[in-house]
Amino acid sequence: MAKLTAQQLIAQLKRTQEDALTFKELWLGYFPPELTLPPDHEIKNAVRRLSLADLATGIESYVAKLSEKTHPPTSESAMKYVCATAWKILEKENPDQEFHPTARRQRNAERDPNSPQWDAEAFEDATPEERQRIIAETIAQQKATGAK
Amino acid sequence: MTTLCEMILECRAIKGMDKLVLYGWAAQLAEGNDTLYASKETVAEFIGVSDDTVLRKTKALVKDGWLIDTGERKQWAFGWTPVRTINVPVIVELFEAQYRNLRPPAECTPPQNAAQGYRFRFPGSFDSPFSAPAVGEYKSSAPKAEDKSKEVGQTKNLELRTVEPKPTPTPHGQSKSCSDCGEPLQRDVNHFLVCKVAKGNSELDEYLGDMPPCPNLDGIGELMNFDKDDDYDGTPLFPFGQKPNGKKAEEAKQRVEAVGQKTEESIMEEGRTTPTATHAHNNVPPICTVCAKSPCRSLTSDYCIDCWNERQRTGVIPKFVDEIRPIGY
Repeated sequence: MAKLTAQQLIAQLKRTQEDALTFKELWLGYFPPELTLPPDHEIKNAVRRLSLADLATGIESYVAKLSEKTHPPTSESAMKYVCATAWKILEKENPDQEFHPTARRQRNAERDPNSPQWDAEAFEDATPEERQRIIAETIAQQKATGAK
Repeated sequence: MTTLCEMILECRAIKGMDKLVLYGWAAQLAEGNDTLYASKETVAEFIGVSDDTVLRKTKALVKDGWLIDTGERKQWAFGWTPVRTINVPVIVELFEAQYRNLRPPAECTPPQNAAQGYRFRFPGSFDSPFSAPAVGEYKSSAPKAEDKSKEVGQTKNLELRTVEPKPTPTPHGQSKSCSDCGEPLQRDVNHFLVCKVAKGNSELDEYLGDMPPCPNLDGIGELMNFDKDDDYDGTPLFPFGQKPNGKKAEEAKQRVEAVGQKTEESIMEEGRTTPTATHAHNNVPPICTVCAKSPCRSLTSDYCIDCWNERQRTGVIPKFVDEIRPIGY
C-alpha cells in the first residue's frame, strides 16, 4: 500500500470503521442468530484488505451452503469462507497482480515435488515409498477439492 | 516505515521509553491499520528491550491514553494475545499542532546569505508526504528561478505605474522638506529666507524683496514703510529671475526715482492730492483709479476687486499677477 498522509490515514481508519459496521449489518441480516459475529479486529482486518462488495458476495454464497451443512457452523469457519471467496474474486479481477501466497498454498507447495517450494523435510524424513504415497494422496485431495 | 511510525517518532508529546515501545507496537502494523495483536515478545525483539519492559511500558501507554485496550483477545494456535488499538487521532492532532504552532519562515526576516543558495530546512524533518504538517511546504520566501522568469515574462502586460517617492525620514522626527529645493526644513530657521530656489521662482519676491511673507495686511503696512515721496507704483524693481545686487540695483533705484518724479508731475496735472500707492501707509482711504468707488486694499494695484477682475479678464493685467492680490480678495 502506498504511503498515506496523516489526514489520509485518519480517513482510512474512519472508512474501515464504517465498513465494519456495514459488514456487521450484512452478517446479522443474512446469517441465523446462532451464528454470532466474529471479533471486531477480524472484521476490521477483513474490510481493510477486501472490498465490501466481495465480502457481501461471500456472505451470500455461504448462506447457500448453510443448508447443505449437517453440523452447525461456527463463526470462525463462516468468516474464513467469506474471506476466501472475496479473495478469489479479487484475484480474478486482477490477474496481472502478484498476491502474497496464502498459508494453505504454501503448505501445498511444500508437499508438491514439482513445485519450486518443495520441502523434503515436510515429509518428516519419510521413506521414498511413503513419500510417493503421500504425494498421491495430496494430489488426489487437491483434485477433489478443486484447489490450485 | 509507515506514516504512523513516523508520526510517533516525530511527536514530541511522547517521551523517552514510551515513544520507543509505542513505535515498536506500531511497527508491527501495515499501512492504514491501527489494531495491535502482536505479542510482547515480538515487540521486545524488534526494539531490543526485555519483555518486562515492554509489558510495563505498554501498561503505562494504555494508562496515558496512547493505546486503547479493546478487551478482545486474538486466539492463536498456541495461545492468545490482547487486542489493542493505537489512538491515532490524538497522535495526529498533536503531531500537526506542533508544526502549526511554528511560525512559517516566510514571515521571518530572510537570512543574509539567502542569495547564496541558503534554503530553510526544518530541523529534524524528514521527507514524508504529510499534507497538514507541511513538512515539505515550509519553503523559503525567495521565489524559484523559473517562477522569477515567469514573472518577468508577465510584466509585458502590466501597465507602467509612477511611484511617488516617499519623503525620507530624517533624524529628530523632521519629516517635512521644502517643496522647491527639497532640503529638510529646520525648526529654528525660516527656510523661506534662505531658500534660493523658492526666491527665484516666486514673483512675490520681486515685489517684496527679501522680506518674509506677512500673515496680515497690517503687518505688510509696517514692513513696507514707504516715504510720502516714494510714490511706489507697484512695478517690479527687478526683472523676474534676477536678484537685487550691485549695479542692477542701482540702476533700478535711479529708474524708480525718475518714474516717481514723472508720476508726481502727472498727479499735479490731474489734480490729485496723493499717489494711490501710498494708501496703505497713510490715513487717506484707498480709491480705485478706474471707478473711484470701491476702496482698494490691494498692496500693489490701484484697482478695486471688480476692476481688477475685469482687467484681468480682458488681459490688461496678466494672470500671474493674481498671486499678489491681497488677502481677503
